[in-house]
Amino acid sequence: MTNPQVSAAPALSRAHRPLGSGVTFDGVLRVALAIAFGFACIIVLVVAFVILQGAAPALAQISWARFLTDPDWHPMVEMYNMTPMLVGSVLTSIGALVLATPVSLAIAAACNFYLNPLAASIYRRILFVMAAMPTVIFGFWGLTEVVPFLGQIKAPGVSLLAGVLILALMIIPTTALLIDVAFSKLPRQLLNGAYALGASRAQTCFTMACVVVRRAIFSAALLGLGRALGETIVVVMVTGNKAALPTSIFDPIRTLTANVTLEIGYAAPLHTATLFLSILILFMIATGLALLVYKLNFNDNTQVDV
Amino acid sequence: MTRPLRPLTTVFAICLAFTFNAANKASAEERLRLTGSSTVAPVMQEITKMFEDGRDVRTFVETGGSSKGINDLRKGLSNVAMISRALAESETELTAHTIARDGIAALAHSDVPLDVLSPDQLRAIFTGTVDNWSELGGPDQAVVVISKGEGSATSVVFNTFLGLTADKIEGDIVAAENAQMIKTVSVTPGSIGYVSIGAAIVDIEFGTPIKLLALGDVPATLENVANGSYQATRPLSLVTMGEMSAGVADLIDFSKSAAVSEIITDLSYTPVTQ
Repeated sequence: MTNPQVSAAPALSRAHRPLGSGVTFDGVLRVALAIAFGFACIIVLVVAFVILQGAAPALAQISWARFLTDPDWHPMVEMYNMTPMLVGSVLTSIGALVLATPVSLAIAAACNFYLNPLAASIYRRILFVMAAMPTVIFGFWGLTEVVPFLGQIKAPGVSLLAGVLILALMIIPTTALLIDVAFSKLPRQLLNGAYALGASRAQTCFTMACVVVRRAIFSAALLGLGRALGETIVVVMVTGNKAALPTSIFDPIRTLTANVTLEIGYAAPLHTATLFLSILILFMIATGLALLVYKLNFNDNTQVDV
Repeated sequence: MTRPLRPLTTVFAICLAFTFNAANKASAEERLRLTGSSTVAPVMQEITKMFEDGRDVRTFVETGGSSKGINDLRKGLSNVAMISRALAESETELTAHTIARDGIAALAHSDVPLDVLSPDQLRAIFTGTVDNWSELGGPDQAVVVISKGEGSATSVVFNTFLGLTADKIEGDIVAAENAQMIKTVSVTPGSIGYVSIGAAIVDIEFGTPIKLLALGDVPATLENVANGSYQATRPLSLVTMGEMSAGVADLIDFSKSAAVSEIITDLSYTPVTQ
């Protein structure tokens, strides 16, 4: 990006001034970053190794097909069908994503194009507080308020729908703030250009700004999806945790994360290994999502440089 | 490539040094680690507080389920396991020291019209043969069956009492632990689950809309657990492997003594000394 010759030219810049005995600020920083980088790599590798090692007995003793074709999930009598949990995880997180993304987009658009600056800054502060809220609060509120309400529509109340609603509410602050940041980084001249052409606010926002930051919107949505997929305590509290395929949005479901939480404390060795396999599947999905976000942000030639 | 590795090793060395330092400081006193049942852990937290008083012992009580307790003990990660069920056939090399008994009862939302269920009726409900309260003489209302995570001590004791295996249970909802079971029953009309009597009594006194159902003719009360007339009970035990150290033997004797019976009764369990 910056020309190295230009940045090297001011010889007295702080980064290059010796701190004594030939040690420079740059040198210290380089070592510190190398250590941080090394630790980050080691931690990811160790996590992957521990999960693989934990899941190995299950992969060795139970054939792959059985995780899809066994009649049910009853590890105590050696039935290991994991499809309901996989479907449960995918349905809740996709559902939350579908619900949360338009709302987040609307919030971010409001903060940047419709509200006056004071109202927008208050709104952002509220979002910050909500994003920082421990998820167990969402779960408890869901169980005591949302679940009984849904129960009046159709028993038992704890359901796929309850999970989707609470998870959407939980990820909206994060995705809204991410999209909001992308909007606020739009170059002034782009906006001024749109207004000079006589575009209305709605036209500026939805036909220009949204198109320019579309990658940011997409990666914000994917990060929200990752958060919904990994969420545990909320889904344990409001989805009912029944290990069966749902037939409607009012049916209870169990996610992969909930499966681990519910049973790991009581599990015999082979049962524990199958729970590690649940974690392995989640780990692979999460890694896939992260790589997708990375690709979108760094491999993009079409986007206007903001 | 090799340059950044040298600082890395230094950091590891410093961490190691701290660890050894901490281990040396602590070696003056005996350290006992107890892990296992989430039902027994609160009892042992209170008991060990009293036990540490005047002794040169430090205890660490951690929860995570009976099976985790057994695993930790076998791997030598703990000194004592806490379990809220009887030892299984595969665990006969271990020794259980029962300190209290706990009853397990069917728990229903207050709007459920029945107060008494026979073991046969419970079996029909939990296997899904009965799915409407009208079939048991109540109003036309769906039965919502709430069970606990597969392998949990409460569910093993309850299922065994009814003569059922885990795959026969047709639950609508699965709760992770006692508090969630109670909360879920209280917000779900027409629901029925099962729970430790001790855990439920506190909430009933607090006004939570739940009730314990009598089993056959015997009401689920602490008195009936104590006098032996209530049948669905389980032992709460400390488990040791092989020879006990002096500290462990001391703790187990103390936990079974009359000195702690008030702690156990306060937590709504029944001490074995009675």
